Amino acid sequence: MNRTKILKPLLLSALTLGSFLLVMARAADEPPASIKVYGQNFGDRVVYHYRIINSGPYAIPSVWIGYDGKSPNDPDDDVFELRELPVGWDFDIGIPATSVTTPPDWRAYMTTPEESDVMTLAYEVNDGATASILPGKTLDGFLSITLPKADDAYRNGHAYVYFADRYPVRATLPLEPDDTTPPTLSVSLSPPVPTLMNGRRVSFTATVMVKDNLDPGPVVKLESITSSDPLMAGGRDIYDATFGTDDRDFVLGSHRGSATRVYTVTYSAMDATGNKSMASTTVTIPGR
Amino acid sequence: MPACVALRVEVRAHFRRHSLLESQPPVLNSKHTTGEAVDVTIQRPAAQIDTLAAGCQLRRPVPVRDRVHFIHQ
Repeated sequence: MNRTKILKPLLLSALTLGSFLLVMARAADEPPASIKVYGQNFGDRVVYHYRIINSGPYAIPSVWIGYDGKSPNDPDDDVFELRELPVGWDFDIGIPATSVTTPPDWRAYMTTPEESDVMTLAYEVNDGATASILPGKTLDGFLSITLPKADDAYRNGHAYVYFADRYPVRATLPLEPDDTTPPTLSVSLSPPVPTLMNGRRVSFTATVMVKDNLDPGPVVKLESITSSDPLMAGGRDIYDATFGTDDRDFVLGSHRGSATRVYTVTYSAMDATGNKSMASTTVTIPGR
Repeated sequence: MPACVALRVEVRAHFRRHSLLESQPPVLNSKHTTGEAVDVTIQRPAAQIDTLAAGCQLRRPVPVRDRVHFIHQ
């Protein structure tokens, strides 16, 4: 028999088996679930909303937010990631109903390790209930938590997911943004045509227009003010500007000679999911 | 009904018997094990507890999340 006639089917079989094993290995590496999150600012409150997509073959009865299981078989290296307690949390009553939402037959509680200032948020099915997230299903629009201020670990930390009838029963997955659209932002300065006060400075007020697809109150910050020519040492041509805050009133100085000076004022807006946009405007100030 | 319900009930009973809190797990390196901390439940207003503790050279490092935990200062 021709050697090629023997080797060809063997080679094809080996390739087919190899491809099959590769696909299986890749499937095993894929996370069996994903945990999506988006946030909303409401002035003195920040609310995070979670969506759990069960893409694996096992039911999910529990998810911990802000917990990194690290190595699967060593509980001693686990990390609690959250620092901010929900609004109204009390050691005895836990999370008040006004600060958390869960589906029917689920509960939520904070796990606060002894002697520690970090914690995790647990959502889980009540004892005896059969409300687990079944394979192929998504739990959407039910899970939320309300904090007095933002805590990034609630949106960019990890989730510790429990699976029924699977070993290992837990998996650590990164929290994924459920909103990737940054706010729209525009900035203008008033007065648009400046007149020097005392022949040296101009007082400005910024008007910042910001809008987001999900967040009613993105956080606005004055990022920078730069000049078309070198400023005095220590930036002493810029007065009353507090960078990194929502400062909309400041004073800018003119060039010490007769040249005009162009300032570029930049603001940022970030939604509670962490999407950030920047916008700048320029203003020209006449020389002295 | 989940298969582990009976086991969970049994574990919870142990938690209750030993006054353990499911929501407050122990830490790996505890000051209790080195004799530097003690847990004391006191039914007094928080400010009064801290005043009393200070008089005994004790303080609560995490008064909200672990209010019974006192360490020597």
